Amino acid sequence: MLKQNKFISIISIAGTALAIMMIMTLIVVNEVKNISIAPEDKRDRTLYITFQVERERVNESSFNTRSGDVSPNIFNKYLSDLKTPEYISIMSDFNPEFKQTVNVEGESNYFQFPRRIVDASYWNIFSFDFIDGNPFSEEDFQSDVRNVVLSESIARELFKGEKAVGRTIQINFENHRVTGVVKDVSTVFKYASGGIWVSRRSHGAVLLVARDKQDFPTIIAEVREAERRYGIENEPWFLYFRGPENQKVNNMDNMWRGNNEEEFRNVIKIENRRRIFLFAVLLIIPALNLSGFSLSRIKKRTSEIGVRKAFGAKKHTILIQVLYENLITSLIGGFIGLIFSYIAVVWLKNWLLGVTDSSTIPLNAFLSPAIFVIVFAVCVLLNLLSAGLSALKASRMSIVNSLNKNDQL
Amino acid sequence: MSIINLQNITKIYQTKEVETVALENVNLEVNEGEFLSVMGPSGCGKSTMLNIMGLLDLPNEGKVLINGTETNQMKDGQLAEFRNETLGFIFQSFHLINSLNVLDNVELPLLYRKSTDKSRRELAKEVLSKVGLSHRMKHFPSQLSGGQCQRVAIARALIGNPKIILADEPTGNLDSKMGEEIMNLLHTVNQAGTTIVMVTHDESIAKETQRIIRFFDGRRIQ
Repeated sequence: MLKQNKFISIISIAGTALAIMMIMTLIVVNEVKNISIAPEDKRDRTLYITFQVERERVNESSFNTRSGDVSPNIFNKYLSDLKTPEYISIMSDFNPEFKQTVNVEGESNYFQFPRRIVDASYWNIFSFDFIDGNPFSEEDFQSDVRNVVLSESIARELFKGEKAVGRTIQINFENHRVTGVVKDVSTVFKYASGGIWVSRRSHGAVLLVARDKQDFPTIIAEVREAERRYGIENEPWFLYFRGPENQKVNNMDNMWRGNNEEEFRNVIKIENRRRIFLFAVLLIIPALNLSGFSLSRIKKRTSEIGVRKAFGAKKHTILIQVLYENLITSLIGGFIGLIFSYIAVVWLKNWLLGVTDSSTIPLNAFLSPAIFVIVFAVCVLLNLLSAGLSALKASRMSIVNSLNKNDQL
Repeated sequence: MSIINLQNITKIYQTKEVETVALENVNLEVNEGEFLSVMGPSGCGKSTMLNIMGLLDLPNEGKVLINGTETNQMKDGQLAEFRNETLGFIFQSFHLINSLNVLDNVELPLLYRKSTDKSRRELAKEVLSKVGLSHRMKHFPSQLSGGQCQRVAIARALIGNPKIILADEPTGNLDSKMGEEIMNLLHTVNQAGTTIVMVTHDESIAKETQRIIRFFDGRRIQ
């Protein structure tokens, strides 16, 4: 079939490739943000609380509100002792552009590096690759000594190849002991990334790692119970934790998401509808264009279809044959489109993933089985949408008209 | 014993403006093992009759009995199976599939039966050898002469071992020498027991067959 109509086949494959590229760029970006890969290899069983709203009812219709990321006090009192999660951790945001003054103790060579403030439990949540030393323990965290873990590149820059573990550095002129050095982590990993990880209690995002995904409802119920406890203890103030959200919801656009559960769920619904609409548009518009090519290919084979039916091909045989042959084109286009989508994601990572230009995207995020299953499913869907009608028409053509090449399509 | 029995067949083609009667109350019996020619001027309905006989088209009225089976009530799928097992077709313009080589073209009817690749290949080679085209198996239709193409079409019609072959002007696109070769081949097939119904304009080749029937304006006149 491909050889029969070379020009149309090439155009059709190129069209499919572009369509698949657009769709797969969205999906690959989504996958990179969502799949569980080291160091964020527990994403599938992690729940996130990234925002808290404290409100005081003034009258029927007005409130005093204070909101922001989760405060250390609220975390300590209401979240740190939840029973069901395997690990609970609070960590500050990490902004590679927001840098601290850093020097090795006793040296006057000052550097500017970004940091993330984390607790001891943080190290249980992610799978870092320690080159030297260890993460700081709970005892280290509770002690008066401030500890840090350095990324490999920062350790190299600070210590010029000398051993870093056990040495002391100053961050904003405060002493910190280096307990470990890890391989650099890409900023693709929103919570695992960091240049210097400092042991301290901070405000920020709370990550709750379940032993099993099935524990999610219990954990969510415990969080709601924590809110109620706050309400009893701080009346007339009440508390709302946004979420806890799973990885996928947590990755949706970081917009305002409501001051209570109901508003939050509505925003999620709207966001999901927006995604489905975008996906449908990206699928249907190219499918309509490609259906023209598909129809044109079938027209050229009218007589062949007549012959096949004369010699015993049933309607469904023709239908399957046309769809199968078109699927080959779709899969070739799909493969090319997937490669293009990888290029697009790498090229536009700053815009699509919100990461720095120097960040690398781990290869296993691109090669996840889910991506290949999705690209196949998208190809099948595009194939059905673009060739379904022509396949149906081909299967219903009258044999005599087909043999006489009377145009019925 | 009649292997084809057309009873009171009427076929009308209807468009929004015009109604054309292609066949009107046609009755015809073809005996098993017979080689029958159908003649008549262009547009007289002989090809329509052949299409109805071959279950490629349905009559508006009348019954079509093939090999003792009444086909009128059959559904599409049953008709396809019945055609595949009982009938072989040879067309004036060969209707070979250009993207397939000779061997694949010949195998086509067996694709719609339960048969293994190996048995299909072997049968196709055997039939191609019968029509003298063993040396052209890997060639494509565009690389063959008209006579060779028609021989491939005959091999394709024969491979399923049908009881009946319906040939619509099988020599119409060939020169006289090639036409003669094809007719010799068809006579050999007929002598082996296959019933053949052939539409033709050529009086001389029709005379070589056992019986000639003539059509005029959608009616059998002789």
